Amino acid sequence: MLDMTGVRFGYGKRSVLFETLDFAVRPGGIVGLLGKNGAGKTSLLKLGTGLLFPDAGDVTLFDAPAWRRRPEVLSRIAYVPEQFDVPSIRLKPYVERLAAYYPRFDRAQMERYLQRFEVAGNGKLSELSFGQQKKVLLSFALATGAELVVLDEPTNGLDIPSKQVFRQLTAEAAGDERAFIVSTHQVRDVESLIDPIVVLDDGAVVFQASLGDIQSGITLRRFESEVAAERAGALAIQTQLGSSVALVPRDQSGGEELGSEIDLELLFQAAVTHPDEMMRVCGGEL
Amino acid sequence: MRRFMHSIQHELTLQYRNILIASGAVAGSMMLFAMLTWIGGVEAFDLWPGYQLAMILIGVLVTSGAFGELRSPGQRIAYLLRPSTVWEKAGSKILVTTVFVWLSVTVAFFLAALVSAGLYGILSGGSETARAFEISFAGGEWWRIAGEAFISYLPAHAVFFFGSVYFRKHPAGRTLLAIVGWLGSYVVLTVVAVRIVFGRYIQEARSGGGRIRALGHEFGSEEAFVFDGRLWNEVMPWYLQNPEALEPILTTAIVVIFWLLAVLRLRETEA
Repeated sequence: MLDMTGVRFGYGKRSVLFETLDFAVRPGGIVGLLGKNGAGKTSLLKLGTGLLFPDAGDVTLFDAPAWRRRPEVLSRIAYVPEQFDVPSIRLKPYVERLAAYYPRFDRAQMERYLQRFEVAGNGKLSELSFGQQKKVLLSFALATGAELVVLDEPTNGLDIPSKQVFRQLTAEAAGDERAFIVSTHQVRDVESLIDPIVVLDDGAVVFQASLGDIQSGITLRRFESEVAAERAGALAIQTQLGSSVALVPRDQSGGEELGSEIDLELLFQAAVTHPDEMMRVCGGEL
Repeated sequence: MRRFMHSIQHELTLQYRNILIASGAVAGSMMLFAMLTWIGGVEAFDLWPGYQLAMILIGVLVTSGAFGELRSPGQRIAYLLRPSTVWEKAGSKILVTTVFVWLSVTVAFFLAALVSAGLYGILSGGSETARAFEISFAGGEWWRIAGEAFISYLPAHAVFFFGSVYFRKHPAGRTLLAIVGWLGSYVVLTVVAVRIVFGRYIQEARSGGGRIRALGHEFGSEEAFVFDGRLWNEVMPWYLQNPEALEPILTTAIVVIFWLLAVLRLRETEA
């Protein structure tokens, strides 16, 4: 679907963002692309969709060079950018005009998504709030039936109930033939949605593994103190009232296990601070 | 072809409001002006002499804003990822900013002529209604005026269309500035070239050294030397002897070249 091999890219000759980036997306999954602000998440998405051109390396999208942005390829992807402006036209003509480009667009689903997001009427898009505009774009992207849906910081601007709706709708829309890339630095918003998880740091993919591999490699445990957690080989620690919660490799002992759920914030912290150890215990592949 | 039709519909959805407002405003203003001067007589109701200027002004205005999506950082991604080729995107914009602008301005003028003639008929007590209609529709020649204006508009459109792609900010003003700059430099270059080539003859005339002779002709003064057609008939290549015949070729060349440049530049900009 999307293959990036040995990509070198920078904004200007002196600032290199990616040295040799490898990244791939296969059908059937919601790839969580996590990274700090400025880690290069948006640039990676733009390179992947042919909006930016690499200085070296290959980027192919549905087996065609991404930079060509051929219409046949573009009708198979949907992209919701983090920052956007909408034209000053009404909702229905906007949907009608754009839907014509996507052969698998489902109008009934679009209606349903808008209802779920509580976007009603046929008002001018430019007069809607930023959050409402985002809901329209998210609904449209899901309804296109595109095989690759790219969502850059999708929960920015959404209220709390809408974040929940977004997670539900995205999970419903995902399937074996579709792939989603959800890029975010607000990891809590996409918890229990994304699988596999990719962590980008300092212009490189430092961690990449499926949720299954992660759960079989590391576990969340409670310790009496931070020192106890460190002694048990913790990869990331969060101090709470009277105790410490830590991510530790499963082959380490100590602490009280807190179920199979993985705390994404801790996972992200562990991936950034101990990338090699994380890859070893999770059996991920870079 | 189906995708191209989608592109046209898409473009129309984005642009129709601007086109209608601009056409209505200009045609309405002209009608209002005619109504204000109705006391001057029925001749004031001939709106069509202003049609060509209105057409070019509205067209240039709409054309300069045609690539607004590409200039807006928030809309650029949506524009670039819209599933159609650069030719379809540019072609639909060209079609909307030429044919649809022309249709809109023509319909607006037609309606303005109809209303103003009707109102004049009422104001004059019905005595000059037929005359008012005849004048308001340029003696039945309105469609010819509209057709000629469309042809005259195309080169201006092509240049401003290219400017709209080329200049990211204030495309209309910058294109106009570029045209003025280009014409100015062309004039300066021509003057310098003429001075270098014909300088010695001009010098001779100024120093009072007798009549100017060039290519076997004798000229009485510097003015005659510059403007006398005989010299030009000698030095001009055959294809410049009859500029009227060349006009359609040059016009077509300007239109095609600037449209092509715009598409090529658009590819570059998209990159």
